[in-house]
Amino acid sequence: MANFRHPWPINPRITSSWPNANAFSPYPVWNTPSPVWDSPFIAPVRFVAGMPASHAANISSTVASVPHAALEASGAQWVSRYPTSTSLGDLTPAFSKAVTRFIAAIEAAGGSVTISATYRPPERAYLMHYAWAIAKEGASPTSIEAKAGVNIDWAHLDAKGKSDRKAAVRAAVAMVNGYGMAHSAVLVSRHTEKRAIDMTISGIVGKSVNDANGKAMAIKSLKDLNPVGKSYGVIKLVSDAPHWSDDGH
Amino acid sequence: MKLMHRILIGLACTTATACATGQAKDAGAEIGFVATADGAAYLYTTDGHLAAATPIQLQYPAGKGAVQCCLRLQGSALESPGGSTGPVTDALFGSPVFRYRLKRMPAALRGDPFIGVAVIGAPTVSNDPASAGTILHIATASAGNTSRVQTCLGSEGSNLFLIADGKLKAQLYYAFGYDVTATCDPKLFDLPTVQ
Repeated sequence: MANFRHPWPINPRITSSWPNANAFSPYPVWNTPSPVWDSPFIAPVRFVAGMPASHAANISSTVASVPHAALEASGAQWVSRYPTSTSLGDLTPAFSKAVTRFIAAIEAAGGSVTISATYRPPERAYLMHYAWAIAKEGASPTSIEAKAGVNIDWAHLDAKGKSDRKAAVRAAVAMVNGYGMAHSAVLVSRHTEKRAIDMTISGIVGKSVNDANGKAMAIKSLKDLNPVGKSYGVIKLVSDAPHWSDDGH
Repeated sequence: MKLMHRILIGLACTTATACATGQAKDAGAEIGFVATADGAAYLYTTDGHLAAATPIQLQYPAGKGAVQCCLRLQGSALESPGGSTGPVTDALFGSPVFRYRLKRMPAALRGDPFIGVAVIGAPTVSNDPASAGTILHIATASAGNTSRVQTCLGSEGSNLFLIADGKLKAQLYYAFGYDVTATCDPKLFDLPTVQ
């Protein structure tokens, strides 16, 4: 398998061995002998001390036991599931209201807004993260933790619980390609928390936009929109042009 | 494959040398992204009128995460542009971004998905050896005038800067559509903008 080629410095997570300090604790998969979970069901996820609370919230610690027969093998068919939303209605109510007002001000000034992302389901992030881990980082398909509601069989287990590793890696590669991934995806972000929006704003440079206090603000470059957005409670993350959130992250 | 690769680069360099002689000095170097998808390669830039003789230099992958500078092409290697609603945006001025499909997929770009830097209209571009492909220097005609192209990761996409004499001349952003671990130095976003 060819390695992915990065034009940028490689993420330290990518270069570290798997599993690593940043990764979740692998759970004892049900095809692995275990005094506690030696059954044809997925064991609940275990968490290591010190794991970020945000991760703990995102990956359920009470994963329901799922019969093997209910699991679906990983592969490209998963890519179209859990799509990213572009609806303002999928944001938290407070942030949705703030963004709606900000967009209205931009459009009233003659600009236009195209929304490319609001809510990104954590399930999608989970699928992308671990598909990359298996396809590009050498993660063992049998060591991927479960996530509630995502009944995926990363290991391609047969009826006897034996993993088909080659098929599992092929399937993960197909998912990575299907997603068009160039980097590992993180599991938690403001998008998975319904607190961020990606939008392309055009036709606004050279015009004036009213801030939340009704003051007209001249827009000489797109950076001039940042204080305007802030007045509405929509905070710019400068490292990502389309990205705004409720706290700037 | 390797032989094909070398032949391609050799031919491209020969072509570029020829076309570079007709190039205007250092006026108007521009930046863009080169990206591969579904067996095709695309160039994204804000210039919707690239001339056939315009030199274009593209980063290409070199295996094991490394990146090389640069494949040399001309504008004639591109199909007519189409408007693009993503994934690339002009982060500085919100200008429209155009997408050009390469008429033929260069052998060096085949394989896994790749997103790299393109420099347009500059006769000579060199890789900063200490930057792991994140900084390219643009040779300029006027003494004391230094230009560089720099790239880094934001939280969900790649930033591309054209910096001349410490000022930001252009900034493009390539949205991945998923969240990643950022690498950008925040100082890059505080650079003064050329008006």
